[in-house]
Amino acid sequence: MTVVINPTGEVPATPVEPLPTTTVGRVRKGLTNPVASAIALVIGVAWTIPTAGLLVQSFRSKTGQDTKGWWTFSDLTLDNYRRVTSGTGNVLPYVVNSIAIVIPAAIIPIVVAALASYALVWIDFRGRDWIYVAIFALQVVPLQVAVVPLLRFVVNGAHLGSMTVIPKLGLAGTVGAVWLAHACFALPLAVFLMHNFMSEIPRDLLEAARLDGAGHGQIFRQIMLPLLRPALAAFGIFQFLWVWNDLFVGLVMSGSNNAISPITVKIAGLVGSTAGQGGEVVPAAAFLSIVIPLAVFIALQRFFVRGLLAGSVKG
Amino acid sequence: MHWLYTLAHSQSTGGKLLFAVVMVILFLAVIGALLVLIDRTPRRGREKYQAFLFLLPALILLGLGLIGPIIRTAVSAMTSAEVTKKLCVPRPGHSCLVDKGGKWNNFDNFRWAFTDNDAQYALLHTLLWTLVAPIIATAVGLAYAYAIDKVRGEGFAKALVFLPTAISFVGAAVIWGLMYQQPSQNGASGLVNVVLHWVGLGPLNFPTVGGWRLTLMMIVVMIWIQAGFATVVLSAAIKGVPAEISEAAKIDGATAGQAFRRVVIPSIRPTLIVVLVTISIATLKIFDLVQTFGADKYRGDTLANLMYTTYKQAGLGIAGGKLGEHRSSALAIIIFLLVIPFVAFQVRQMVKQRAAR
Repeated sequence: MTVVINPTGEVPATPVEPLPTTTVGRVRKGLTNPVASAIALVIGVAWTIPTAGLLVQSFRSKTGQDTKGWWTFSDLTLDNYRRVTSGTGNVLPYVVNSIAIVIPAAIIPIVVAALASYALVWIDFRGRDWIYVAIFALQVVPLQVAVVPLLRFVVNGAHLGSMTVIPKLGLAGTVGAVWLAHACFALPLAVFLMHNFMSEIPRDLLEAARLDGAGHGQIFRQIMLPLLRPALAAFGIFQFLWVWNDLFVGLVMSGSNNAISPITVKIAGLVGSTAGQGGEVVPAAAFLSIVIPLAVFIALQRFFVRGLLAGSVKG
Repeated sequence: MHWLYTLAHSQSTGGKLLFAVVMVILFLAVIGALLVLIDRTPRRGREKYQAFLFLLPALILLGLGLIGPIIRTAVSAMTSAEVTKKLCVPRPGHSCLVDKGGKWNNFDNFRWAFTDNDAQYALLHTLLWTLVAPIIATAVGLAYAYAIDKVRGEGFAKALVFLPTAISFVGAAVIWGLMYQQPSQNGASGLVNVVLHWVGLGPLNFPTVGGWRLTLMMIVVMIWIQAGFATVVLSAAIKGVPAEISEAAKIDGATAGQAFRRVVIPSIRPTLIVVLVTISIATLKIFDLVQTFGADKYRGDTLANLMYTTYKQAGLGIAGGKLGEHRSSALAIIIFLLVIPFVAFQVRQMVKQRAAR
């Protein structure tokens, strides 16, 4: 437990770390054996080959794909990529949709969660522990339960009987519907992460500011936000990957409207519709869809791992 | 606000991106105003008001996106469709049939979920997924994390297995669709079937093989995705095992296997359970893989996918007398109930963790 829910995000070891030179390292080394090395090799290779296969296949012509395996590296061409980035088969508009969805979907919940956590950690009021536990427990709600009613709300507004509680927001048929859903669903985990990070900030800092006459709003803006930067980065990447890779919310909230469908919805549609012919472009389209999260992931893996170890509870 | 509405519905690349940026700026402006308001609250009972204002945005979003919807779905699961004519929202001016719902129907939707053939398959397969995927993914992650611990190139080795974490289930479905490709008349075949052919086994026809075999083949993909998460978290836990313990075991003459079983596993047990629980929750809601592979056509359905297809048949606002949306609500509630024990465990861990601090 001490490791997984590790509030400071102090990672015992990031994936990129120097080789062991300590006694500890040598002792451990002594305990590993050839069997372990073999296991590592098999798993490492088995985990890499599928993605490599897709990359190679995406550069091969239809004839090549139809007659030989990708490992022959035959019939290489850029044609597939040309077809998925221009003309009728262009998937780039869907990449744009994904970007337009992911920006608000990552920023909104983290700011809202930071505000909520501030109250839950630094302001004394009755029932605050209960509110925190309740928000954490809301992770129990599967997207399947929440997404259809949320779509109805976006389309119709909220009503109690015939009384309109909240009018419709005009977000129906826009990417707003998709990111609003993501922003809501991300909150329990975001509050949990921010709460953990915030609890680690020394109380003296806050009390000194209070004595100087600063209000809570001011303290949040000027002291908390700068200190929370690592937490914001960790959750930002987490949420970016989650939203970019999501299919379910995108599928339901966009309601098959191509104008607002994220790239995952497009790729899933391509897989289904090109079973007969035209399937040769699918590897290229799929690779385009995974290259952005992959790049973000590789560049910012350190932050991501920190977020993962601080609260590996997203479901 | 007319310009904002126009921008929201913009079809151009620039318009869509501008809308996202404008919404974020508007949102931050509202939050800024809220923070100013927080410092202007009346002195009497000040902290209470301030706490409320800090929590307000979260409470609005949670009420809107989670609490309200749970209630709606629960009601929908317990009621039958009741169709009335109403103005269509997506196309103003047209009238279409709208399901008002509202008639208690004595658990009919649940009875359907437990007796319908397809629904039973989906339930059974979801249980198969949840029994197999988390355990194997965790085991692979553990074996790998331990095998590469403190060896040369550990970071790189870990990154190899961790990489699929960044890949969407949809992308993974394309990747594994290629791996599993059936032998075609033209000669192409997926790597899996080529290897099977080498060792003298018949081809696995994916996805037409159907049934539990299809489900197992999809579980392999899930393991491929989740093992990296298990590796990274368990690797951190293994590094947290005090060196003195392993050292003592070695001096006492323990073999590598014994040290692993008797020293490492017990020390990281809590983390192992957390990893298992986390992957189990994700597995119970497995949707993307099944949807992208179209596995429901070959008796490889799961609850979450059946929930979606049932909902999709009904369509939003055009219930047309079908029970679809209410039945899909019942399926969603069943997933909800199945997830509860796992999340209850997580909540207990969290509360214990807080008490310990």
